[in-house]
Amino acid sequence: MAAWEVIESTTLSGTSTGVTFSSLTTDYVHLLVKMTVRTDLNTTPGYDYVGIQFNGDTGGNYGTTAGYGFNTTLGVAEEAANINGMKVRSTACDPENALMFGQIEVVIPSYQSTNQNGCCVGIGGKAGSSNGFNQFGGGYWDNTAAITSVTLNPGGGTNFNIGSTFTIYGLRSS
Amino acid sequence: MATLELITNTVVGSGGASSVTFSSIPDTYQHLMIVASGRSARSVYQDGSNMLFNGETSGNNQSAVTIVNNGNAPAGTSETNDNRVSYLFDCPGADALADQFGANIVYLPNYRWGEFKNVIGWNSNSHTTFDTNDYANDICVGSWRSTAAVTSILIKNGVGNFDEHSTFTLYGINSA
Repeated sequence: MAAWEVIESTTLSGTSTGVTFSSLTTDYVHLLVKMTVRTDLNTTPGYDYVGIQFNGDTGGNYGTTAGYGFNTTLGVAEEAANINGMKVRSTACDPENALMFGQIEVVIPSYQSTNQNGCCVGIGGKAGSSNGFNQFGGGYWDNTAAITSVTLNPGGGTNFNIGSTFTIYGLRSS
Repeated sequence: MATLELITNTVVGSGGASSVTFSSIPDTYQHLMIVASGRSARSVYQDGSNMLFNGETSGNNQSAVTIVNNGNAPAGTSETNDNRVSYLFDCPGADALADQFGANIVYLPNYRWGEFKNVIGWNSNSHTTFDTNDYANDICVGSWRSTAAVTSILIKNGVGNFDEHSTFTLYGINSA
């Protein structure tokens, strides 16, 4: 039996204010999300984040810690009690070339556990003609409920752009 | 044949465990992958870990280089000629946010070949405060200078025990 299976996948044919994976089953132990993504945030230097929320919770129950490289500058992203979800980076956005997308991979371990807060680890980035940004790190959801849905929000933008691709995989434990 | 197959899944039971061992790893895959969520019983915000291969605890055949983000801007650290690879399974400790576990993914490419072995992984242990060592995010590349096929992997908590419910899952990745 394959231990890695696609649960849901979508490629946007129009702009979208968010993508929700709600067909999560109890067949797996871990989840993996791969994104090729761009938002409509219109600000220099042309990168954005994806907010990850669980079970439709839009309260201030998320935290993020991450290290990043912005061109030659290293820095940290630290947020607690955030309503926008765990922030993984980086997408491309305006004014970056319209054909440029960011790549992000996120692991959500033990998503069915009711003994652990929801959490994730992510890595990703975007290069570009002028500015590049990569980030590694993750976050937590201060809630031990089993994760039944994963929502991806377009960071500082209003929409994900056409062509953005999102796939969530399930990893089996038996 | 499936591209990714489960080899084994270990969930730490009541009382915790100082280590988790994957033994008798089949020689039928091209690469290995481990996905884990761990928490340490030690009274710190975030705790270390060690990874050893084939039961080897001496010889100083392991090295690692890691980018660490732990309340400060990312910085590099390296360990050469050691008996372990550190950082790959770091996790929150007992002083961290309640019920917070770390998230880890680790790859062992070409674990059977006759050259030296490499391991690469990244993890995140987030927290609600951001002083140095309150949390940790790591990207680590390690090496084991051995031509032997990897047949067992020991994942050891830095000082004490992994907490109950810590989960470590080993997968095999096929190339054909």
